[in-house]
Amino acid sequence: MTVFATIVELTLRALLGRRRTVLLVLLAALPVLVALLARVSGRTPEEATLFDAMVRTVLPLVALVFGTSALGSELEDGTAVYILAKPIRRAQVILAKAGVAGSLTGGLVVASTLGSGILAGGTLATTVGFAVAAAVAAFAYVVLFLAASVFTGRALILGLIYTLVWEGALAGILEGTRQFSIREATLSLAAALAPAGSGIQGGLELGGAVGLVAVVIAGGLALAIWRLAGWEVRGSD
Amino acid sequence: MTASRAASSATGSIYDLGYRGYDGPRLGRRHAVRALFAHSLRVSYGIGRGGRAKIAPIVLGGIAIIPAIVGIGVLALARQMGAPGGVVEEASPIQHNTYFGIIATLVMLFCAAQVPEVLGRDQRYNLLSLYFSRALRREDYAVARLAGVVAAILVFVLLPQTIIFLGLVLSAPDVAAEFGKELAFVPPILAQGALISVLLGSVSAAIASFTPRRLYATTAIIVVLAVVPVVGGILVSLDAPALARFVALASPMDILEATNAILFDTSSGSDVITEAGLPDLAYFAAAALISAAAIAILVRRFRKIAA
Amino acid sequence: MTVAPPTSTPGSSVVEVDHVSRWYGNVVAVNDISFSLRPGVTGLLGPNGAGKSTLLHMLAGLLRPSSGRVNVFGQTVWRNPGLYARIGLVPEREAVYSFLTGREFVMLNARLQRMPDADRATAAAIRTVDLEGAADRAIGTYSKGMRQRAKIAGALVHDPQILLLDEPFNGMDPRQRLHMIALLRTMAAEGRTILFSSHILEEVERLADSILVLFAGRLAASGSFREIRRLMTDRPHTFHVRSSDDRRLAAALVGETAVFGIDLSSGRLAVSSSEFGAFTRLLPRVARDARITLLEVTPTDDSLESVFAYLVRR
Repeated sequence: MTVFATIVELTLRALLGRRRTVLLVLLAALPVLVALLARVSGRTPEEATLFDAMVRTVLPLVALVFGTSALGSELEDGTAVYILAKPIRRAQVILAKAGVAGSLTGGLVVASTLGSGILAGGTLATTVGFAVAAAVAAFAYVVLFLAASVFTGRALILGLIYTLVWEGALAGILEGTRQFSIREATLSLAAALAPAGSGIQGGLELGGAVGLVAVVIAGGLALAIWRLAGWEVRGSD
Repeated sequence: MTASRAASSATGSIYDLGYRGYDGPRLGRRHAVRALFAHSLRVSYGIGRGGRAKIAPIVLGGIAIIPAIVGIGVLALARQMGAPGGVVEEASPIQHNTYFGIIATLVMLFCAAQVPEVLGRDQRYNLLSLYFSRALRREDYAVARLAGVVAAILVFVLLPQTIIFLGLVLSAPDVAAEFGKELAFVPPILAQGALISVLLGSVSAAIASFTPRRLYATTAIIVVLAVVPVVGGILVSLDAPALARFVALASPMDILEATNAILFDTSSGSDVITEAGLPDLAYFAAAALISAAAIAILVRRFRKIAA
Repeated sequence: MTVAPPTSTPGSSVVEVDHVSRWYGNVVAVNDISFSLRPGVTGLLGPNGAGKSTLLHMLAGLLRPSSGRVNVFGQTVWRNPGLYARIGLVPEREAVYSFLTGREFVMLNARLQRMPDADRATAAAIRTVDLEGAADRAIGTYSKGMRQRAKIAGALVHDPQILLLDEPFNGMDPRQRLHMIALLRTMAAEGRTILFSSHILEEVERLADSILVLFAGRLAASGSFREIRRLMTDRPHTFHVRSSDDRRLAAALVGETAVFGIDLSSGRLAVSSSEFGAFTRLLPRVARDARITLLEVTPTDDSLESVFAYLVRR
């Protein structure tokens, strides 16, 4: 079994521990449940509204949980030593962990998007377009939070501040921050991928959105790899 | 053990520096509760702990007061430059009745970041047995910790309001009159501040008391405080008053949005509130009920926990 | 008698530490340490807070020295993951992937070390540390000693030339400890370089060929501890002597110049001498001339404990 596959398996087992998975699945299912509730009471929910809500809440939260704990928990409690004191390139570690966390997050949000789309009676093109945007965004968020977790043990709260304050509150006040908001990029991507009239609007041009996502993913991975190579054990004696 | 014995002679003495017992007064339960309350308050702001513990509260607290300072600064400048009375004040988004809404997200983050620190650490390091083997009772522990959290949130939300109050009064051309005007705002500020701190504090504490792991507690608090209102928003867009009513009463942040509007006698900008169309009393009742339930859950948790 | 701390001699040794210091802000954890490690077992001895873990982490390339260099096999060990193929590390911290079984944990280490036959290496390592019985249970269910053994198995699985162990006997019962000591001795005899840290003198005395004594971040002594003891000439050696007539023997000894002091206060005869060699020759002669039978002669402070206490108290 290759080194990469070994780390992937280890990370999968670590991330998919009992309680955490169930709770995250429930969280991701929230929009679907709401849509179900709506259908049951005789109304048809708007797919765009559901997707927008998911992008604002479910997506970053799931990415936060998976992204900060994929490597962060090992760095915090010292078990990272068992991976780092090995003759393997740091890039492999980062790529494997980001891949697993991103895939898990992507899987959940794509499932959620598809579920909402079906219940909202959206067209296939729209739903698939939304799902692709969600998957891409999952990786962008996960890489961002993973990189943060290599730099600091407080990545969770900093990630929350980024999501709720920077992408949330500030984006409403300062238009410029939208250029640096993954949320806006996601919505713009979704608007571009889905056929016109899907109801989703993003603050960026398609080019800007793709550029932001690419920079975040590439830059995040590079930063994480660089920082992990010089990672030091937390002091004690 | 032995009392201090001094062997003396005409020219010298030898003092017994051995182990001494403690014969002084032993402060009882009330002091223990008070000490734990103070400790909880300190932990909420990372006081007495290293720099890393202060990052979150300082950053959040800082962001919370910046708009207030900026707003007051602009206002003071405008008044100095002789702007016609009342125009800038009216136009400014930084006012007593809007400020709680402005920092709503920050309060939520403060709860999510700090309440798990206050309630989770003892479980994480198995310290509960130490606490429970003192004059402190289990219920006292729960209440003292909760009181510390509530006080911390109260400070967080009242500080910017105080800054606005002082700023308005001190920069006014007629201080006495301005003071009189501002005084009218004090009761609603205090009332809303109390509501925010008790409601959010008790709900966050109840959630955080169930897990020593920061990740779970923080995420759960954010879900309850931030995700539920979004769900409510979706339901509102479905044009379902019954569902909107349910969410409006079950979501702490929406309740606080409503009480803010009621206490300051303004209209709420929230769709959920308008859609629900509930009487004012309903929100206060809901706040009281939820807080009581959360406190009960919290106390029960520490009564039952194995220590 | 003390000498200035040594500088490392290049070329002949496996691990070279050259004027290494590490500080955290104003706190100096490791202060200008130099030494070399050769094949065999070296014990790193020091009280808690002396800097042992910090030094070990620097040797393992997990901590960057604030100044100085740590070379392993002639290469800098910091930011050099390739070296880990030949280094095995047993860290002190308890945390380990508790959801893995012992076997899976060792297997993880084997795979990450790119062992061509990971299964066989894992089985061998588990057998070596005597963990076969519990190998298929989750590590979370292990006792402290078992967890230690699992960690050691994980560090041995790739047959490293250098083994760094941070307080390896923590939590082991006497039988396990003896077993581990025997194992480490065997490995050292095969030409490996083993460094282990401990604050328990007995273990170090029993296992180490040479010691490094660390105190408050500084290297207080290095080498064979018996040699260190010899060098401490400003401190006399003490012997307990049991004979057929202690008091008469004492009277006969006190006249000899090699005898530094005589003590009968504890009911036994304790003799101190600053000239170790001269005293060992004169004692039997004095006893024979006085017609006293020597029943037992015990050096009382030739132990690592007294050496250590002396070094630390300076």
